[in-house]
Amino acid sequence: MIPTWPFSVLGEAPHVLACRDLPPIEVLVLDSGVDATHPALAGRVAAAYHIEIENDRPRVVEISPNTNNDVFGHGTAVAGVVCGLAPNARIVDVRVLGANGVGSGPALLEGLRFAVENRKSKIVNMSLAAKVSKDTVLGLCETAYYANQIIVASKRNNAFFGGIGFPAEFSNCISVDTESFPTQYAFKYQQDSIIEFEAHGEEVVVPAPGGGYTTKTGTSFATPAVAGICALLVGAYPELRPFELKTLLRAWSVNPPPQGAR
Amino acid sequence: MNETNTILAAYLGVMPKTREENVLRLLIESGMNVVEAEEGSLLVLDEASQTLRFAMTVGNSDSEKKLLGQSVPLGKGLSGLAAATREVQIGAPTFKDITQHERLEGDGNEPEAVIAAPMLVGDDLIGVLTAVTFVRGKRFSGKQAELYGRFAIVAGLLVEQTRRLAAYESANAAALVSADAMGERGRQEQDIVESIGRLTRERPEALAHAAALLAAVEALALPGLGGTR
Repeated sequence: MIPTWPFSVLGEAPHVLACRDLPPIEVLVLDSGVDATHPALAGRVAAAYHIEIENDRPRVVEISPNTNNDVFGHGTAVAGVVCGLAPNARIVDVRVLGANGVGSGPALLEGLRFAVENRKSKIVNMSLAAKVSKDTVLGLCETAYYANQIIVASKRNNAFFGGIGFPAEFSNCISVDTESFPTQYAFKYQQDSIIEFEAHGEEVVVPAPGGGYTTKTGTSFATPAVAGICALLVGAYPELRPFELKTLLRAWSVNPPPQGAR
Repeated sequence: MNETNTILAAYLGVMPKTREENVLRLLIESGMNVVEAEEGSLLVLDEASQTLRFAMTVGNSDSEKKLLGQSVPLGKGLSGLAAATREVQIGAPTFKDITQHERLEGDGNEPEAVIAAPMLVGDDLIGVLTAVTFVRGKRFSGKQAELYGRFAIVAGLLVEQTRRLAAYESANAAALVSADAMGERGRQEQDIVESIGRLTRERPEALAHAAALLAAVEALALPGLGGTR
């Protein structure tokens, strides 16, 4: 049985905080890049990078934050969900997919290292699962946890094969699965699961690169909903430590927003 | 050998046997029925060109004729995304605005929704299995994508095992050809090797004598070259 807390202890609900003028919070999106020229993301991308692989060694390259850096459309959709829920979110776009045409374990690892050791953004969204260097990823997530950074990570869509995926399975991250909810501000705590939260990831309307909107489904699009809610909570209560944030999320999961909240 | 089989052999690495092709077709058809799709395609990874090539399309013979042998870059599109992330992806059309009333592009003949599921063996990418629907307004759910992903895993394993079997059979055939080519001389060499093998196993103390004897024969037969031992 999940205990319920009185609203006076919880503060304001995420959907209420979305209407407040909150201080900006950086949400670093490790993904396929972001189309910063899309109207839904105009002025929301604070910085953009991509990972180049040169002589088998990855390196971070800064690019203009005012361009279409997305090669697949995945990152633009993810950033769109974050920005749609959290008006105070400022996106840091780190493209780790699509370098040399395919996804690359070393590129993802370098992107995460950059997020944790260099950029130190408050929130890191990983709608991707790493497939290599589990211990290194775990170490970086530990560093992030102790530095008060919040990593929100997706469960793999095809988790029946090859496991849940990391960092979602690490306890120092906030892990997210997909479910259908009436609003993107609604989510559910999973009492007996390694994956702690389920958020709305079914038929989510998202910005598409080059302009326009499309519909996406999957854990990839549930995860940024939780990242956006975290940006609101951290914006309102900047002193929150990761474990306190998780506790707050758990509490709000049983206090769903009213009908009509987006 | 018909055209389809030729393409299967060229792009799929599957020998043109109807057994494998039929099983793959059966698998894709079953997957399509489960997710209520009208068409399904199997794209195989061509590592050399870093592309995904259409090796089989089920559900529409016109599409099959049009798509077979076509390739899509690995770094583009929903299939490329599925390959890059090793994750099942779901696609839908792009609309002009958030209310999704007016389509941004297309002539109306493009798919309404797509599932692209990676065919994996371990973490090795074999290809991508796609399912498409043309039913207006239909969207694939996460559950349907997950189920189709399972069919992709089995298809990947089938293609990989077929390739392995073909490679094994090919190596075996080459070995048989090589043995035939050895002829009488080869058989005599084989007799000598087998004789030394038996000696080593049963009378190891006699090996020194055998070695000396072989060296003496060699010196007698090849006086100019001298002994090697």
